[in-house]
Amino acid sequence: MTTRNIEVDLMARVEGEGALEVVVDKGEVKDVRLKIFEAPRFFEAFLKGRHYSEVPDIVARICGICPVAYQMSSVHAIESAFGMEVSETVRKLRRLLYCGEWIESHSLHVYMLHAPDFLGLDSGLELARSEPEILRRGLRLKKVGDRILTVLGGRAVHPVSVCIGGFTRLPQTNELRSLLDELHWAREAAKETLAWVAGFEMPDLSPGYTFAALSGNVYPMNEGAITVSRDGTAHDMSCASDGFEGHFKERQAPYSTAMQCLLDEKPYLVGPMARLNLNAASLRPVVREALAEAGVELPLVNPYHAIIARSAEVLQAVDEAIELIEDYEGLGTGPGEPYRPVTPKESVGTAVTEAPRGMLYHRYALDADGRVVEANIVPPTSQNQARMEADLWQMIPSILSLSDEALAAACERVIRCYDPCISCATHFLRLKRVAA
Amino acid sequence: MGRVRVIGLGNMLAGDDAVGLIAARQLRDLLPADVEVQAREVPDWDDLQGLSGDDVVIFIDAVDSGAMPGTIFEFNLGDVIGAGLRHCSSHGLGLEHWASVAEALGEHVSHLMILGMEIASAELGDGVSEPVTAALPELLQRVEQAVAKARDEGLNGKGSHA
Repeated sequence: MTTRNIEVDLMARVEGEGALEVVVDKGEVKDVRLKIFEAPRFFEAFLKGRHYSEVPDIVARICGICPVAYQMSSVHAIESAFGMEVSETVRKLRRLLYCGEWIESHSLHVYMLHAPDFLGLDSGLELARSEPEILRRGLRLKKVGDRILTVLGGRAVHPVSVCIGGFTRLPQTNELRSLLDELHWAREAAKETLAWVAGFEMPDLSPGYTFAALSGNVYPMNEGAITVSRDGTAHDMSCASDGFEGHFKERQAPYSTAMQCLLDEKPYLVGPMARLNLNAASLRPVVREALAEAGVELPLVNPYHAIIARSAEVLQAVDEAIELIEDYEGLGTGPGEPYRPVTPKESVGTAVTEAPRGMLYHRYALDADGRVVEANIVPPTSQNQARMEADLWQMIPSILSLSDEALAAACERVIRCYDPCISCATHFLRLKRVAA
Repeated sequence: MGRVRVIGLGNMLAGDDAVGLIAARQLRDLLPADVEVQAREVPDWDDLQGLSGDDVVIFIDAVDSGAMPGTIFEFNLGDVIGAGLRHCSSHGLGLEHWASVAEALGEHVSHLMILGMEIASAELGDGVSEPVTAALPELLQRVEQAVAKARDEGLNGKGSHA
């Protein structure tokens, strides 16, 4: 038989539902298709006509793992449309909220979804059985992130305090300080996590990525310019969020319900590795030291190293969260004004923030009453989808001697490096019927 | 007596998938004050860790099995673990996953119960269908009965609720 069809009908340990189809003919890879067939979400259409104040709570429901990212990109885009700036207190608390989301999302992926690949285990459940104390460390780290979201956002999933102009309520100093003991434990646990994953044996694969991430004076979450690098260090292009659609173009893959986004017609990489490489200068000292101790050098160019980048960002977020909380009293505002008044106007606003999985772009056109006329959301998994396929095109020829089952498992491992959030990536183009 | 926790799961913007959330919100006024009632989008590790042997956790969730919409199901831990259930939520790790991990880590999850309602549609949009609305009072009653049984058995020291 000269033709092999490798199909993975339902990929394990990725968020949402997707499938992979690889066609190999006479020893040559003929097709690689990452199919996303979760029901299209139509969120952008659902937002039309909604009042700006409803948007953060609606978009938070696109994703149960990264609701903060959707809230952050939406509030920044709408505040930009209305020409608003938030207070320094709000800016810092939004960073703290994002720290919470990165900690919980990354910890979940590192321990429950990704580490088993490097340990010869089938699942996080097997890790629970074979290394219960290690998994407990990961689950406790995740809980630290959840606690930040609960204190700041009212609850761990889909926080409810984020609003245009700030928060509906600011936390008291003692509420935030109640997190510190656990955060100090988390800093040590995050160092241990980084050392643990850096010791994993990883296959060699260097696809030659083009990296894209926000970059600026601070490690990017809610701020920074969109920056592109072709070697992981030099900044080859940068633009503000309103330049996103000029450079990054979405297209519909006929076999998938998700859009694919390309940069100059080519795949590119967003996410923790891109962020880490493009923002090495703004890493916190504790992260630099931990990376050096683990023998990790930047830039990271191998997709399997994403687990190292994710673990480094857990440490980055924990360390920054401690500083933000310790400084909170020093902001001199007490709880202060939770949000600034909003004056809607007919306008268009854009924003990019860094979701755990990478850049998340939002654009809103609003009418004079502040109702949504048009919305466009480009999640990170849409941006990484073509990149995942490109990695497989490159890797598969070197592993064709494997059995179908082993080859399929190897492909799944590559895809899991991206922590794809397939639910977020699904949305359809609007269909326009033209009468003959 | 152990604690009783009721957790309604679902998505308010996904049609009938909101049934667990709606039930939880109504149950806050119906259940005794010492019963912890939560309404959330996804199950989480926190729901199942740190429980004592007498604690009871009741999840309320949407079910998509092909049965008549409005049909009410009752599952226990044994039904959930190893059942090969697909994620019940639109995102995140499912209840089967967390229950399996909790059991493997030696957590006290034996008194876990799921009351589920067959739904007609989980398409994006507000509001639930007529069959789900019509069956909601029975679902609330079933939860109240389950809570009363758990409290009664806890008080009498029988310690078996599943």
